[in-house]
Parts: sequence; structure tokens; C-alpha cells
Amino acid sequence: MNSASSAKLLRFETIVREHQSGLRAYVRALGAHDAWVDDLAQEVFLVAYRRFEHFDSSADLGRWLRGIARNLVMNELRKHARRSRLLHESLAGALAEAEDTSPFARTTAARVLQVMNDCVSQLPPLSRELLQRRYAESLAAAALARALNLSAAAVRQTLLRTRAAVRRCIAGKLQEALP
Amino acid sequence: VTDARFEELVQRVLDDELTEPEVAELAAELRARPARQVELREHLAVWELWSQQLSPERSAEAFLAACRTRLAADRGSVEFVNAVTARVQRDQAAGSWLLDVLRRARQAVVDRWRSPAVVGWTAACAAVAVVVLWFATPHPLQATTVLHGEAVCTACLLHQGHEHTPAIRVHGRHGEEIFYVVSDPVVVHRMGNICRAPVPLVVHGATGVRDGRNVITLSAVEPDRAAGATPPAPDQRTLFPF
Repeated sequence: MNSASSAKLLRFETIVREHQSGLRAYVRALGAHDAWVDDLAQEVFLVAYRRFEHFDSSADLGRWLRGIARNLVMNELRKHARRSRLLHESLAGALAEAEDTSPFARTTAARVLQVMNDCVSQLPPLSRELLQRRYAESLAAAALARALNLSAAAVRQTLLRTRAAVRRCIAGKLQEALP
Repeated sequence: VTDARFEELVQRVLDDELTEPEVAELAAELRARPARQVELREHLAVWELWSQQLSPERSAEAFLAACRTRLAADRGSVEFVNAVTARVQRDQAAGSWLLDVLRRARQAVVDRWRSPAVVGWTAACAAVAVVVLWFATPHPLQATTVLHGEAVCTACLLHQGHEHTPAIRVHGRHGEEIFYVVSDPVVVHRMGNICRAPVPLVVHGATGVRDGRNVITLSAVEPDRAAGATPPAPDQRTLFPF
């Protein structure tokens, strides 16, 4: 591998490190199925690697990557056979159509996560445990209910309230911080 | 759709429990009220970030490693196609050279001895020689590739999707190459537990390119003793859902 290729590869890895988290969240928000988020995000970076030469270095790299992601999802919607990587067509279509201008879209993933951790720390212990186990162990409501000796309906209801409260908390804090 | 109902539908999206009528209900609501789109997107994004934070297999380093592997496979596929094309052309050149020699020999025999018996014997000998040469020399239709590498799981070790399928990772002169295995599960079964760690192997099979990715149809699998591998014990073997 020559030095130009090595330098390009090094730059690529730096970009992946810096943008992977936010890009994966963006891909999910466009309507990717949770099991296929990483796969689609990797494709975004591969496309970016191939098209580095076309990127204007004075432009916003994150915005360029999000543009590639959006095109990939739109292509995915056009290919019947590959739609399994997305949520239902009509939902993914609606999500991918509009440009997101909410405070989330203008904030880095690291900052959102920082605010989120702050919001989660204020939750009651049971709600915190539910969120931890739901995502760390990928447990569905029924399995969580068995593990915590609760009814599935109670688990679903608590998750609903907890998620809604956390989202409102994050949105409020991000809105406050914006100029 | 009331706020409470919308929240309920969002939860069902997040938990992948949405039914078809609910999909239609939610899609209609998203079209009617763009603010709901923003809310759903925010939910999807924040819980994705939360999932990344809590799942070690989704860490930044794991994601970067998967990107590196896919990039290597991407670059390797071009080199692989060039190498296979060169090999096919070489084999075809060797085949045409042999046919040319046989044609010249036949002409020489016919010119020198015009006896039908001699020509018949010579033709029979030539036919036998062709059959022997067919099996004795490499031929594009019989091409079997031997790879020294390690068997890895595409989900557990390469982090490419969630389907557990085997692949052969080869470290060659041009860097890392990935060959996705398309084979009889019985052969794959001999690889051992590739979800736990990479398994050093020597594999024999026919290689090709499918959907831009290198693939290999295995005919034989053996432990790479040079790499210190031992055959997997029966209880270590794993079946994959092909």
C-alpha cells in the first residue's frame, strides 16, 4: 500500500471514529430496522471512502455523510428485495422524506448521550433498571417481566412512560442550550 | 390519534411489535402531522445511542473493525477478479497450445503414413492422451482453490448484520480478504465454533464473486496445523442456520 493510500485509510478511520455514533443514530432515525443499523451505516462509510475525492473539504462532513445515508435509504426503498433492512415502507418513507431540523439534529451524539445519561440518572431505580436491561440484554417486554417478576403490561407501561420522560427531558435540555 | 395513542405506537416501533394495521395508523398520522415525524425520529435516535452505549458488541472499536473488514473485502474483490481472470486466460492459453500440438501431430501422421489403420491407431492414442492431460493439468472447470486462513462468524466477529454465517478471513499480500462461505452445512459444521474466536483452517473449494463479494463453495475443511490448530472436539462444533 503506498503512502497516499495509507493516508487516505488513516483519515477514513478517524472519520469513522468521530462520526459513527451519530451516523448510526441518524440511520436508525431514517427508519432502519434496529438489527440492520450498523450494516447500513458501514455502507455509508464505504461509499464516503470511495467518493472522498468529490468531497469539498470546506463543507460540513457530518452533513455530507447524512446525505449519503439518506440516499442509501431512499435507494433501499426503491429496491423491493432489500426493504427488510428498513422498518415498514410507509414509515421509513415518511421518516426519510423530510430534513430533520430539531435540536437533536443540530447536536453531536456525544452531547445527546451526555444529556441523556443525566436525564436517566434522575429516574426511579426500577425505570433505570428496565432501560438498562432492555438494551444491555436485548430483552423484550415479556422476558423483562419474567426477570423482574412483573406483568408484561406493567413493563410495557413503565417503559412507555420512562422513554417519553427521557425524550422530553433531553429535548428540554438541548433546547435550553441552543442560542 | 391522541397523544397517548401516538406514544403507544412509538413504543411498539421501538420494541419492534407493530402490527400491519398499526403501521397504517402510524404512517397516516406521520403524513398528517410532521411534528410527529420529528418526535419519532428523536425517539429512534436517542434509543439507538443508548443501545450503542450499553452493548459492548456495538462499541466504536467494534464498528471500526467491521468497517475495516468491509473495506478490505471491497478492495480485495477487485484484485480477486483480476487474479481469477488472469488465471482463466492462462489456463485457456495452455489448453489451446495443447490442442495446437495435437493438431500438428495428426497432420504429420496423415501426411507421412496415409494408411487408415495407422491413422486410426494414432487417433486412439491421441484421444487417450487428451483424457490423461485433461485430468493431469489444471483446468478452469475443475479449478479448486486452497486457502490458508481462519473461519470467522459474520455476525459475532465481523459485525456484519445479525445473521450467523461463516466466512474465511485470509491475510494475503494485499491485506485482509474475506470469502463468504456458501456451502453444504455438513462441511461448515467441521469448522468448529467460529462465534467464540477465529478458527485457523485450510479450506479447499471453488471461489467466485457474487453481488460484489468473494464467495467460496467448500469441498473440504481441515485444521491449519501450521497455525497450531487442532480439530474441534465434537462438543465444540456448532451448526448454523443456513
